[in-house]
Amino acid sequence: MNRRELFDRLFKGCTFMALSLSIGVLVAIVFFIALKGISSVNLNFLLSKTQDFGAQGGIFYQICGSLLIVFFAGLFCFPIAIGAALCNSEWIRNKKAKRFASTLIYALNGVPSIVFGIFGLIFFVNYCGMGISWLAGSLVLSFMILPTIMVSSYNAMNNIPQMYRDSALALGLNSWQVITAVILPQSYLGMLSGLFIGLARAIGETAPIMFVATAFSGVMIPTSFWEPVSTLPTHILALSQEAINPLALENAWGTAWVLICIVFSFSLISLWVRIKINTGIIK
Amino acid sequence: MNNLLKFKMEKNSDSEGLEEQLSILEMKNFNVWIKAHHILKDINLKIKEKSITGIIGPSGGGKSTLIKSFNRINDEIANYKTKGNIYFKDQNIYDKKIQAYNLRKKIGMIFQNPCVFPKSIHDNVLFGVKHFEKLSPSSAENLVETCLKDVSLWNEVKDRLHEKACNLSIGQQQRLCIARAIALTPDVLLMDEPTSALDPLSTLAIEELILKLQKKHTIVLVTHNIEQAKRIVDDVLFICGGEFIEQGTSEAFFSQPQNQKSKDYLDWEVCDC
Repeated sequence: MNRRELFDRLFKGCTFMALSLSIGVLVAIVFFIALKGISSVNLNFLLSKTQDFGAQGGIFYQICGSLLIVFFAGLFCFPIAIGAALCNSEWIRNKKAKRFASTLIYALNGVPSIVFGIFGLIFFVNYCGMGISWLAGSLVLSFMILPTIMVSSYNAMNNIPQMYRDSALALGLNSWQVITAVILPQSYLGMLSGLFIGLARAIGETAPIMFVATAFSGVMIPTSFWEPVSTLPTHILALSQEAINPLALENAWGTAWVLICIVFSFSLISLWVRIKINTGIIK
Repeated sequence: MNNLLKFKMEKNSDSEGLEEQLSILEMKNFNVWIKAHHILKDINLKIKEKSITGIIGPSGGGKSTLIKSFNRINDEIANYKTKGNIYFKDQNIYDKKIQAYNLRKKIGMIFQNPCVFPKSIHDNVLFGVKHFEKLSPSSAENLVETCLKDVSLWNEVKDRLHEKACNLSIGQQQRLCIARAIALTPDVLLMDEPTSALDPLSTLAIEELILKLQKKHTIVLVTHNIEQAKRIVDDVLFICGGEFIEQGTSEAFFSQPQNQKSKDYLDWEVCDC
């Protein structure tokens, strides 16, 4: 074997190692959490309320809280993300302005999540007087996942060949009709895929909502906009900080397992939508 | 091929009075800039009603920009600027009162590459017209049938109207695009090299179709294919380097071009502009 061949093989080996390491980390985390958590998860755990500061009972209200908060976050930001994507893709014609708008959106994506948390605390909780409430949490999360959904929608719209717009315009359609007849039907899968990636990210977030929307104990299903909820990630945080009681810690692992399952199911929906796009359902 | 000859002969007998025909489109001192590029320079021309006008000239000479100015589809281009006027039925289409999308219902356009929407054949025919007219199911069916018959596609697709249009051959897709445009009963059909993406057989079918459509619509056809222009057009406009060089009837232009540039182009398919 000469030097060039050796280098070639070595390099190939290194890239394989890098790939295995990346996949290995994911598999290890999932395996470890499943190993530790799966034993404490049963139907009773999923459907009963927390007791004895997390050492007893289940996580029913935490599941409800998490789903409620991300459902509304998605509901608030989806129309805004679509609107922003449409504006950038369909109305701004200057390429520099388009790129500038996209860069700012990416910058929003780069803001650390704790900064969103502090902003939410100052602006929504104190300045707007919402108090610690699930609504404030939903609003903060909706800002956080806005770039993900907007970028994904924008890319889907931008990938529609100009020919389709021109053909529709040549038939006398106005901008609104082009959007409803061509742009939205041909990009909705991209939007949905972005939505579910965004939701998968939002449901796992702790920092943006821990000061803004959540309380540890004594929360039930809220009956107004202004009540705090408990969520899966903040529940895990609280239980692992209270780790004196081994039963509470075991429930933290169980909660983590449930959380991972929910995140994966969102990611899988998004993946399924992507596969649908790639297999040409919309072509 | 026989059909094409037959159409052409019929057409010649129909169009004897071409000189007296009214002009439906007229450009007066029309200029176009895209960014700093002066694409069209002081163009003056007339297009006669219910005729086939061929716009020919070398690539990059401004043919496409010219034809796309007639339905203002160029308005979508960033940094697009015009000076001068275009009159459609004596009304200036660049007037502020004119809305481009209303104009485009009357001046349809067929592009180089057929572009069908990801819908059924049936829905593609109705794609434009359903936004402007309330069609009962039965009148919609009739319209689809009439338009597809007009573009000689009916017999090929009548049993699969609800199948995806993208499964059609490219030539069939182009005829479907024409059907979609004539569903709006436009006065003018602009065609920007409609056969350049097609095989010879489909090209022939489209050429026959253009001759047939001329009875109801004014056709403006951009082509880089001189033979095609000889086969089907009544009137030739020669554009080179963004300038209008010469206009004449097909017979006069191809047998005795007046301008040296036109002669060069007919001989070599390039010219010095």
